[in-house]
Amino acid sequence: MKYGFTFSVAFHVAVLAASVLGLPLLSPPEEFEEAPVFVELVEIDEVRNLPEPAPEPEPEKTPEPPPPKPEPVVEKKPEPAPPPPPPAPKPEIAALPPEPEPEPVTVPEPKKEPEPAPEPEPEPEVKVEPKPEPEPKPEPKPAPPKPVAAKAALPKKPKPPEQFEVASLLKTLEDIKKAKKPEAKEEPKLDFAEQMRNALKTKSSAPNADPTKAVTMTERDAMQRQVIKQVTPCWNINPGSKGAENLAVVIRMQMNPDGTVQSASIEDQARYFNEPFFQSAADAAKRAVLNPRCNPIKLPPDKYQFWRQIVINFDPKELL
Amino acid sequence: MLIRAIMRKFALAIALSVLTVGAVSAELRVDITQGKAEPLPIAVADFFGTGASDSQIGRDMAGVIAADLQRSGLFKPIDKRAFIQTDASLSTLPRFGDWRIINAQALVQGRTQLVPDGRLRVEFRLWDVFAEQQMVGLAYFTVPDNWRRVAHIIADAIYKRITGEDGYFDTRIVYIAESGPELRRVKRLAIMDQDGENHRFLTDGSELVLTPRFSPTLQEITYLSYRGNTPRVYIFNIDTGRQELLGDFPGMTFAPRFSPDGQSVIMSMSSNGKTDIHVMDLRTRQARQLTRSGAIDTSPSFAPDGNQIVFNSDRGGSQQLYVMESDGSKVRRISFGKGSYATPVWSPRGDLIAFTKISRGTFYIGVMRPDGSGERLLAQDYLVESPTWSPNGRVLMFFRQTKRGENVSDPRLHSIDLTGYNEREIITPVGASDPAWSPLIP
Repeated sequence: MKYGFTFSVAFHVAVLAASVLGLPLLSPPEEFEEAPVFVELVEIDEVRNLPEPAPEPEPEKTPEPPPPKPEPVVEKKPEPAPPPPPPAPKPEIAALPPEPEPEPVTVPEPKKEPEPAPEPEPEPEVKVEPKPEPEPKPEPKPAPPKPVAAKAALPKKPKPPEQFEVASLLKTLEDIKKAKKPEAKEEPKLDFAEQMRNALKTKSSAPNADPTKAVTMTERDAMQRQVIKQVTPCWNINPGSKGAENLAVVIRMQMNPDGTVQSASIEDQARYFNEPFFQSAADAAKRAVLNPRCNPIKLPPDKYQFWRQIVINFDPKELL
Repeated sequence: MLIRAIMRKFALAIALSVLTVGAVSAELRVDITQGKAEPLPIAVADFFGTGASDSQIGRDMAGVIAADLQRSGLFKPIDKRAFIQTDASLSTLPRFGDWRIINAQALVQGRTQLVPDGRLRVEFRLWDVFAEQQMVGLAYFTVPDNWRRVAHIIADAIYKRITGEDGYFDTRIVYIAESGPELRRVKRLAIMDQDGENHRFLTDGSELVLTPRFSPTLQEITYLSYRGNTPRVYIFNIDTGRQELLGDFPGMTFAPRFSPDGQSVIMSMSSNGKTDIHVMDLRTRQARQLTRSGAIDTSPSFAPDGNQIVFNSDRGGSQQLYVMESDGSKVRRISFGKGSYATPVWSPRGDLIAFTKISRGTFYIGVMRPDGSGERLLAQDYLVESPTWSPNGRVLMFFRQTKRGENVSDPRLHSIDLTGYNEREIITPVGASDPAWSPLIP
């Protein structure tokens, strides 16, 4: 009893002393600020590697939901240009020759093999579910039926894109935020603890996560610099266009291991189809990443895990 | 035990936050803020026709389209001799690899066909060579003689799809054609396509004409004519060739310009040594006086929304630019640089005002924002004057006279991009001044 009491008192005093004297010493600001970030990042990427093998069975079940394919075909048979009434040439008046109005008619894309138009969107990547459950509804996401031709049909009266500046900038920001969110959510919580425990116990528990192949901040920086160095010369901007300061475009690329671009897609499809200026800027950005002169991007093959997906934000703001 | 549980939770929390960061790190995010501004390499293949005459038209159309795009300074048409795929095979489907090799980033391809009823059917497609996708595809029916205009319309469609801005190729220029010796100068109203083709004179030169301006509804031009030795504002109908005096003012009227809706004309009227700005409703023919400064207020030009007017005035001593509401209220000066400013023109896209500036005996063409900020000078010479905007607000045309020794050159029309690059002369048969750019032909 007494022994216990004295021990308790001694212990409390010790704790108190530690909290008064010890703690300030334990938390000098410099110590924490410097190193930890690096160390943790190394670990992160290893851990991050873990879920990769899991989704592998996914591709196998893809044959199941092929319904979106036929869509473009249906869309492709617009009216075969019904010869509209002849544009009665105006009777010759005074100085000018007749000006028969040429009538624009939409030309459908020529028939060819299942046009890659309905792009193999990044959808497989984003939607990856670590659990190879066949249950999950096959993402009914109806690929936006590219109304390219349809829109082109009325080239005469495009609404003036005068007012979009501020609103669209906000929208872009929102969209960028949105784009980020799903990624964070992507990690299912149940697996988490499991994976963590595994990762902490045995580092090499994942077959393809080689701890020596983790990426450091410096390496990431170098890879980013390489992308910038190679893509910048192919990005052609249109300096005189109105509202160019609000035309930042985000391009998401799926990369092949050899550094070539497997696919590139424009984020913010809604804006792409509604704003001619954004459409133009987005196409220019896409041309930059697809241009064979700036491709393949020379990135370390053994770090492929970390650049399999590259997201570039093309922002012309500073160029104006 | 409890402590251990807390510890574990804490560890898990750290692990969670770490993993969230990890999720972001799985993709490489990069910001690119530097680029280059170079013309886009584009291949314009001859439009394919099966017969002799339609394939000739196809060749001519491709030539006009390529020339339009090149003149804009935003495109670089690739020499046809470099093309690998033939026009015939191209008319079924492009082999994109063939076009990538010659560094074409966009490809224009089309067909011309004379249909049995005598009309010409023209279709074209614009392809994104890297993405291997069609960007736009359209077809037109027209009379064969109208092929040149259809070519301009197609060039506009391509320009719009790639730059996002409306084109300006299907437009005309009206200007003052000047010929003869200095003392007996003949000045005629003339009109031509934006590329200098289809040139013709609208007046015979028996009376002096100045400052033509297009109506936004196109069939009409307003201008100043010295008929009977009194300068008065007239309206000329292009279709009928009819000239009409606008209003019967006591003094002389000049510097006319249409309002953006084409329903009224704004101009200066001078009497008793004062010059003020008046606006006349074309339907009711009622005129309204907008300024009464007692100074010389002239060269009014509406903002594209019709709510404001820019003009120049010497009310402050030297000639400067002022902006006011369309009812004449809230007059404020916007030009504060050295020298004097004249002939302001509000851009059709609203973001800039072009002007002529005179400083130390040199003339400049420049632009500034409607609040007077951001002044930039684009061209200078012994005489540069009379800027006019392309309908998309991207290009300015003006006339230029150069002095070499004692000789002053004939005035010539020049166009220049808003950025100050890509200045080009528009070839005219005689001297040319006072250009006015039409809107897109409706």
